[in-house]
Parts: sequence; C-alpha cells; structure tokens
Amino acid sequence: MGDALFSVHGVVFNYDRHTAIDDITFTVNPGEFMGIIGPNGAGKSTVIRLLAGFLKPNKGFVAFSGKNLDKYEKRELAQNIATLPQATETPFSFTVEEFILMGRYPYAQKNWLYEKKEEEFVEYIIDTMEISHLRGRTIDTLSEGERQKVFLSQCLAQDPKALLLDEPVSHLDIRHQMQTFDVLEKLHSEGLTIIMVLHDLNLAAEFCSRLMLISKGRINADGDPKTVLTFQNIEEAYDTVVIVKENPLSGKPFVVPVSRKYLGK
Amino acid sequence: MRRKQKSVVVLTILVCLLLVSILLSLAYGKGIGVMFHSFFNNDGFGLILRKIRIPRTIIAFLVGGSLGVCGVTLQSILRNPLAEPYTLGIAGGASFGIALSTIIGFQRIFGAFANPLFGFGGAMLSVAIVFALSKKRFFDPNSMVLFGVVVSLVFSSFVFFLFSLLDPDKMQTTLMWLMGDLSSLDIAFIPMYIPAFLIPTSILFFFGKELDILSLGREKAQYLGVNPPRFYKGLFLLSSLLAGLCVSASGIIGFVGLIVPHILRNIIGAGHTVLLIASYIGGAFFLILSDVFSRYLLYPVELPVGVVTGILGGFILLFLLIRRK
Repeated sequence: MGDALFSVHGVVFNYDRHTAIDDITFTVNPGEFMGIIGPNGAGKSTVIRLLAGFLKPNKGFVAFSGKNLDKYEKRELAQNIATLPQATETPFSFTVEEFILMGRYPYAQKNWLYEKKEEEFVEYIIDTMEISHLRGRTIDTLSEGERQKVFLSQCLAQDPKALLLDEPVSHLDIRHQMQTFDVLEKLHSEGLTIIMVLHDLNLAAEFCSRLMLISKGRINADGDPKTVLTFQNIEEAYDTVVIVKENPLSGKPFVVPVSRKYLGK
Repeated sequence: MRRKQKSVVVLTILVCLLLVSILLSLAYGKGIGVMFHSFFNNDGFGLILRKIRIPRTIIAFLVGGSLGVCGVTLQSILRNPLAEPYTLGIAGGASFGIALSTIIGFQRIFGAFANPLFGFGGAMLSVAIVFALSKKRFFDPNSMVLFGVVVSLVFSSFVFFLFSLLDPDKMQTTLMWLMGDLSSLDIAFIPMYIPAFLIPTSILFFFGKELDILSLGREKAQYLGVNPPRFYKGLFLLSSLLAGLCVSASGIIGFVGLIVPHILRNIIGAGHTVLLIASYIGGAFFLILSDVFSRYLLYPVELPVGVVTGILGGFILLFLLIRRK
C-alpha cells in the first residue's frame, strides 16, 4: 500500500445478483486529479460510493491512508473524505450558511448548536468560494450553477484530504462548467486529491491528470489522458466510432463521436 | 446571521401566545382575578381548576408540544413535509387496542385506565411490528413508511371488524376517543405522564443538527459523518414512543404535528435546532387553544378536540397551500 491515499484491492460488488464491479484493483496517490469515465451502467458511480464508504465490497477491500474504510468512525471518515453524490435534494429551505455549516458536523463538539469557530470556518469558505452574494438566500431559490457552488462549499467545509464527485458538471452550462473546474483546479493546486466521475470525455481529458476508463465493472484503461483516450479504447468501451484529435491549445486529446451515416455499411 | 435574531423574536412571541392560551384555558368565563383568588381558596371554582382545568391544560400542553416535535422529527427523516406523528401506523394500532379493550369489557376492570393503557399497548404493538419488518432493510425510511401504512390499514380494518360486532351504545366512548378527546383522562395519570412525556422530548431537542443532515437523504448524511441507520432507529423509536403516549393520553389528534412545523418553518426557516423548540411551544399553544374552542364553541356541547384541530388545521393548511402557489 505504501503512502497511497486510496487502495482498492480485488473489489467485487454486487447489487442483488447483478455484478456491478468485477474484481478491480488500483491505488490513488495524494494530489492526483483523477477522472473516472465509461459508458452508462459501467459502474462509475458504484466506484465512487465504494471509495466513499457508502457501499461495502462483497469481496476485497478499500483502504484510505492505509486503513480499511470499515475501521473508520463515520465522523472521522467525513473529516478526510468529502463526497458530492449526483443528486442532493432536501425538501426544506435551508439558508446558504445553514447548508454549508452542515459540512462542519464532523468537527462539532457540542450536541446542540455549532461553535463560533465552526461558523468562522464557514465564513472563510464563503469568501474563498466567492459566494458572499448568496449569503442569506435559501438553497431552493438558487440557480443550478449557484447551487452547485454551495454544495461544493459544503464539501470544502469538511476540510477534506480527498474530494469525490459524481458527475458534478453534467447539468451545468459551459460557463458554469468552466467555473467549477477553475475552482477544482485551484483546490487541486493547493494539494486536494480529487476523484470525479465524468461523462464528458473532453472535459475529462482537459482537466484530469489521470483517467480511468471502466466498462462492465472492469478497468479497461488507466493512465494519463493521452494513453487512455485512444480511439481503440473508446470504441471498445462505448461501442461507438470516434475520431480522436489533439486540442491545439492544450495538447490534450479531444474526442468526436462519428454518426453511423458517415460509416457506410 | 439574521435568522438568529428572528428566531429569538419568534420564540418570544410564541411563549407569550402560549401563556395567553394557558390563561384562557384556565380562566375562561371567570376572569384572571377570580382564577387566582379561587386557586388559593377552596371554593367551587378552585375545585374545578384543580380537578379539571389545570390537569386538562397540562395534558393539552404535553400532547400538543410532543405532536409538534414528533412531526418535525419524522418530516426530516422521511424528507417529507407532509409526514406526521401517526405515519408509522401508530393510530391504527392504538385504535385496535382501544376497540379490543372495549369489546372484551376491560373498561369494567380498569375503569378510566383502560383506554390509555390499551391505546398505548396497541400503539407500541404496531411500532414493534413495523420495527421487526424494517430491521432487514436497515431502517430505511421509505420502507418504514410503507410498512407503517400497511400495518395501520390492517389494524384499522380489524377495528371496523370489531365495531361491527359491538352494540352502538358501547361505541360512543370509543368513537369520542378516536376523534381526539382531552376530557376523559383520569387525573391520576398526570404525575406519570409529565416525566414520561418530557424525557423523550428533551432528548429529541438535542438532535437538531442530525435532523438537518438526515433531511439531505441517507447517502449524503453518511458522507457528512452521520450514521443514518443508527439515527433512523433511535429517532423513530423516540418519536414513536412519544406519539404512542399522545394517543394514550388523548386519542388521535390530527393536524397539530403537520401544520405547526409547516407554519413555523415558513417563519423561522428550516434549521431544526430552533424548529424543534418552536414547534414544541407552537404545538402546545395550538392544542390548548383548540381545546378552549372545543369546550366553548358550541357550549354546553363539548366537541372532540381532534375535530377542532382537524377543521381549524385543515383550513389553515389549505389556505397556506393555495397562497403559496
């Protein structure tokens, strides 16, 4: 295991009888910015949930900082790993401050109210995320882009070592996508380890330093974007013909799917 | 944080309203001066105060407050603002217990103790069944609601079955009770009820933070450091115990646990730490006031208080829902 942040070893996971993850092994080192890509139903979200400790492997183990996830108290784990699942909904109108303050729960000492220093930490997060104009608004009145920033702020309030995200930008317009990635890149440069599920292969190539392509619960390819995003790998995983080119600005690969009507027979 | 000052103001207003409703309940028709005078002198009204009005106001306070707190707790866990204290099948089980005791004739043996005892017993029986069924599902809220609804329906059907065997005269007291009734509780219960109600409520007051987080759903709650199955189990148990006590003290009183949290959430916001306390005071106020209405609206005929809360609460809720759009 060494000093890997996450070690996943021989993990198998079944939903009832259906095998979602079929014997995967990999490690993630501190400071990596990793994207998990693959077709629908490949098991991407399941990988995130396994890393986050929400699902327990049927076989194998997942360890964080060399210690099995089972051995962590829930609060201790929440101090180390923050996870943003695909959909977070609440029927109640919390204010932005109240909502972000929940991220301090793993550190709260008292049973009743949050301490002053927890509220100060929230102020600090609101400043760094540049959302002070949203202060006092309730989360049900925010736009998708604003809400995503608030959700991300709640994760950052946990002051985590690793941030796990499940398709954080798929419902955002390109402006808010870029804003989100700008924030994530900044956090990454400050040392945060980020693992995210992404649908958009081009965003994945552009921002992640490492990509893991999975399909049918297995790892098809793992490495830097150039070695993973080859047309052979993509066509095999997605069963779709693609053209892979190089982005002239960044030198990263970009992928264009090809419609069947241009393929002849 | 602006909401904090607002909360203090709202809580102060609620406490004042509560005090007014208590005075109204105690002194109605006599005036406050007479009330205090009679309380310290052994005249006829003093007796009425001590034997009837004070115990009744205490019970209305305990039941109303508890229903408010139960409503808040279950609405958060179930992530549904329309959940209420009876969602887990408690009403059905309690009615069954009462109907059974009526048909067997336990009223003759236990007297005034029969309804509270068997109501509570029936409520706890239905809770035990729902819990046993939910264990395999790790107390998943959605499964618990389903089990609760089904268990409640089965018990209600048994109640109608028992009613069809009863002669109508015997049904009168049982029916009164099913509609929510603060008038028939024996005052010997009061010293027992006060701690029995206050202990579970004061424990619930300390779980505001967890209720905030649990309302985000099981997965996100775990990511924030809460252990959902453990809290689901404990909070369901506490609120079921409280709802069972409410049902045993006063039958089925609808809408308090629904409307009080709903209105207060609109005023002070969703944060559960304050909402729990506000809903306790607000629930107590609403039930004491409804009880005053039930006593004097059609005087000398007394209405079951559940009918008053149902009509009053129903109209208020309807009004709020229409206005909200």
